[in-house]
Amino acid sequence: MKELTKTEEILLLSIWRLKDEAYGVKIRRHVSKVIKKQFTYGNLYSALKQLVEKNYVDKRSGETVPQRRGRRRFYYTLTSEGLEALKEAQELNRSLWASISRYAFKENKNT
Amino acid sequence: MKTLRKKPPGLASWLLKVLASQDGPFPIHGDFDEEYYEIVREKGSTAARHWYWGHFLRSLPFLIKDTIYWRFVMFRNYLKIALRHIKRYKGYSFINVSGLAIGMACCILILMWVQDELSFDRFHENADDIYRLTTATPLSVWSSSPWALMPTLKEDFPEVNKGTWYGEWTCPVRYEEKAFSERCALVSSEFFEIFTFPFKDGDPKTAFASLNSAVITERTAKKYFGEKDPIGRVIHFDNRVDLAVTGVIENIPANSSMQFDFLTHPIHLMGERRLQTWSADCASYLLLHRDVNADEFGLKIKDTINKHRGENMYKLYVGLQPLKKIHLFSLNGTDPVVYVYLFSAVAVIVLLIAGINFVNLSTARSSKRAKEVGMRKVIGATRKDVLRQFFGESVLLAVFALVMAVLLVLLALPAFNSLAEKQLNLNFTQNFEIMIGILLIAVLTGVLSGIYPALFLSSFQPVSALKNTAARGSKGGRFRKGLIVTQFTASIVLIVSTTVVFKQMHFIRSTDLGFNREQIVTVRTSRELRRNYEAIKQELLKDSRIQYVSAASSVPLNVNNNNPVYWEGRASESPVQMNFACVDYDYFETFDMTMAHGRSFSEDFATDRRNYIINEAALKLTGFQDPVGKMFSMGRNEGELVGVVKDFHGTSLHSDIRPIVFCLYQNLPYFNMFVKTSSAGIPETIANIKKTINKFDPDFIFSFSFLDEEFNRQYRNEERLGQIFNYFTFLAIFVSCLGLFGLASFTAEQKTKEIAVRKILGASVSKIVGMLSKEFLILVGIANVIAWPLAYVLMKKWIQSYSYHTHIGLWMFFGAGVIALLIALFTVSYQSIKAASKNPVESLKYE
Repeated sequence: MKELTKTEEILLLSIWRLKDEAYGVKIRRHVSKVIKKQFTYGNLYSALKQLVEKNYVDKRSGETVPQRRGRRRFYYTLTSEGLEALKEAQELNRSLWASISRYAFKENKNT
Repeated sequence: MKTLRKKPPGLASWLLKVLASQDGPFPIHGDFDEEYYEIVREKGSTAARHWYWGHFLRSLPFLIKDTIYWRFVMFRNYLKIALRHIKRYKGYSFINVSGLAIGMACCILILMWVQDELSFDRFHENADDIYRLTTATPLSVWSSSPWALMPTLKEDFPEVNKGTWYGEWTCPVRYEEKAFSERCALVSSEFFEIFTFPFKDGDPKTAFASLNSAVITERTAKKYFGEKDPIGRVIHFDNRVDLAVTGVIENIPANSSMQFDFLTHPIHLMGERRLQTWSADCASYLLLHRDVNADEFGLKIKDTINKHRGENMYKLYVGLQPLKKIHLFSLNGTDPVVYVYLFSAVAVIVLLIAGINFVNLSTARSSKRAKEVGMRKVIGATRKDVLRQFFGESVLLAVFALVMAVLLVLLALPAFNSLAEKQLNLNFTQNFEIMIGILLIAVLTGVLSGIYPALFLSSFQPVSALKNTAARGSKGGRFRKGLIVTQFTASIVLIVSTTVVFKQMHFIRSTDLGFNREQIVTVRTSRELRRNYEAIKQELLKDSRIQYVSAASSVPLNVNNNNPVYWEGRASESPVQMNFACVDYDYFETFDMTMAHGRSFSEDFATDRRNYIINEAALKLTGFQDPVGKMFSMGRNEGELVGVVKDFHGTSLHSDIRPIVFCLYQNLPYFNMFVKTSSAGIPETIANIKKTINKFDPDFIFSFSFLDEEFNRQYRNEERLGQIFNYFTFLAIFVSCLGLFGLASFTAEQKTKEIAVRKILGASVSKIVGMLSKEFLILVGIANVIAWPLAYVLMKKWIQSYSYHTHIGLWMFFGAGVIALLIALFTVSYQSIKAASKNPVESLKYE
């Protein structure tokens, strides 16, 4: 299996974290906050498209609110393959970092 | 939800909608709006707008890429399917596209012709404000006006900005050893300030600073001076004066109603005194100020001439004719613009027929594709997708046809040019409007022919489409039948029209015009010649091949001068206007005109110098029972009527025969000399005429014409247009047949099974052919019923523009109907016979 790109990894983790709240606006805002610069919808959806194609995430259409002027939200959830891929990425990261320092990867993630 | 009122930026939102419409699963637009309102709440609307635009722009690459990607994928699929279809049904596709291409090519050619006709005289910068002065009597209107009129109007009326004479004369011009007869235009110094004729050399402002200057066209400059600089060279004009060339203009464009090669002041030819006379013999143009209302000004100047002419002279009224109307609207009789309308109508009809073909064949074929549509729908295509596919396909075919049409036009243009006597060329920058128009027409034809199949097929329920029950509706059949009727109606109208036009042309050629115009050589005379006319005549008559020599102020084709006349016993004092011609003895004999009463002029009667001969039309006006010997006068010259000549058709058959008076006055110049020769040795005779004339006037540049040729020229335009009309009619009929052929073969193919079953049950080949043909023949029959009254009304109108015309016979309609039926039968029967003679086993073995 091919390794995840950094963007994919961040996206998958965001979706996983946001749980039931994982739709366009929330994902974008979360990612922007994490990478500390504006993540555009163009980037978001082109990456999401790839993830859907690779079957790492599922999407389902949800409700709409007045602010969306009638357009539905689409919610994304991780599939088991997605989760698997994340774990592999974590494994890879850990082994890469292990020999270099004791930097707590988990803490970093939690901020 | 107060914040909801502050809507996202309109333009960006709209663009987003357009670009993200394909995204389907990606709810970008909604996300944008939702977040926008959030930012409005957090930071205010300005920040939110900035955010919206910023993010929109930054997302743009993705949006565009995505849209294009999907469009392209689908387009590739549509294109592939379309090409497969074209390949699979080669015959239909060929008929379909080539029919449309021929139709479009006809349309382009005709439109180019129309555009050229409409472009006449419009290249002048001041074209909107230039008017030609006209003069009118109650009898007719002329494009000529008195020499003195233009300067007077310029002086008396502030509305007139500038004015110029314009007289066309053929004059001898000599430079060193080279001598030619040139088309000269006699103009005043403001000519170039009114008209736009670009200078190659010299300055338009000072070109006519001196009276002794001449401006020539590039072509003429080359003819006289070759590569040498023409400016300042001296040429000898009309054997009397030296003129210096002060300017060279570009050759006169073909779409100018003024055609000349040489420009100078009229004083050299006319003399100072002539330029102050009040009799009409030159054209004049005025440039009015932009804000002047030409109609009002026209009324204001109406009586100017009469003020300056004597009380007892007949009235002559001044009028204005816009420059832009000169080419397409005639002062008397039929306006040539009729042909522009006629041809535009033909263009529309041809295109209509071709378009109908296209629609018919595409719709007929589309029912074969019900399964494809069903399949697409099952996979997830929306109705919109199917619509888009079919529209796209037909537009693609139409555009392809357009490309073919342009190639056809390029091929046909030289032939068309020589037929129409034009110099048209397909220039994409010049014919920009036409090209855009045709492109629009192509797209429109595509869309129109796509509408029916698109709407029809996209409405299928996938299930019934796949079960193949949907395509069997009779609705489509009725629609196609309606179109076939329309198409054949148009064709039959064209056939009838062609017949009528042809018959009228034949009528013109075969009508006894009342005078003989064969073997008559016309020579335009010079002053020198007029002085020696008698001697020349005697000299010429010594030649045994020459039967008569005569002369007149005008050719019989064109008796245009007019004068007031009086006659014995006339009740009213006010004079009546009649056309007149001053003729020499032997005039009537030369033209073989017959006398209805009395005798022709004879040298045996000395008093004939004061006497008159009138034509029958004039006789009718006078009401004389016994005209010979009655007192008659023209102007103030009183005389007797010695004879009445039978009416002859001098002018075109469009107009009635006008009353004409003939007299022998010799103080009026004979402008034309007529020599009647025998048919043998015409070249020798002409050489002899030239020799004889040059004996008396060595400087005379001999030029001659045959009267019959000149006569035919009157109708040449009409014959030429008639011919073009015939060609386009032929093409229109051909295109309709092409469509019928395609449709017939399609029907036969659809009925393969039916035919096979019928044959098995015992139907004969002829019965089946009859069954297949009947349907189409009924349609053509209906088309006939519609077309006949239509054609009758149209042709009645056209033919009435001739005062003398042939009759529209019933046989023309039947003939056209029979022709249409035969053509239809022939086209259909080929396919039906082929279908009917097939072995039924072949057709049924797959069942």
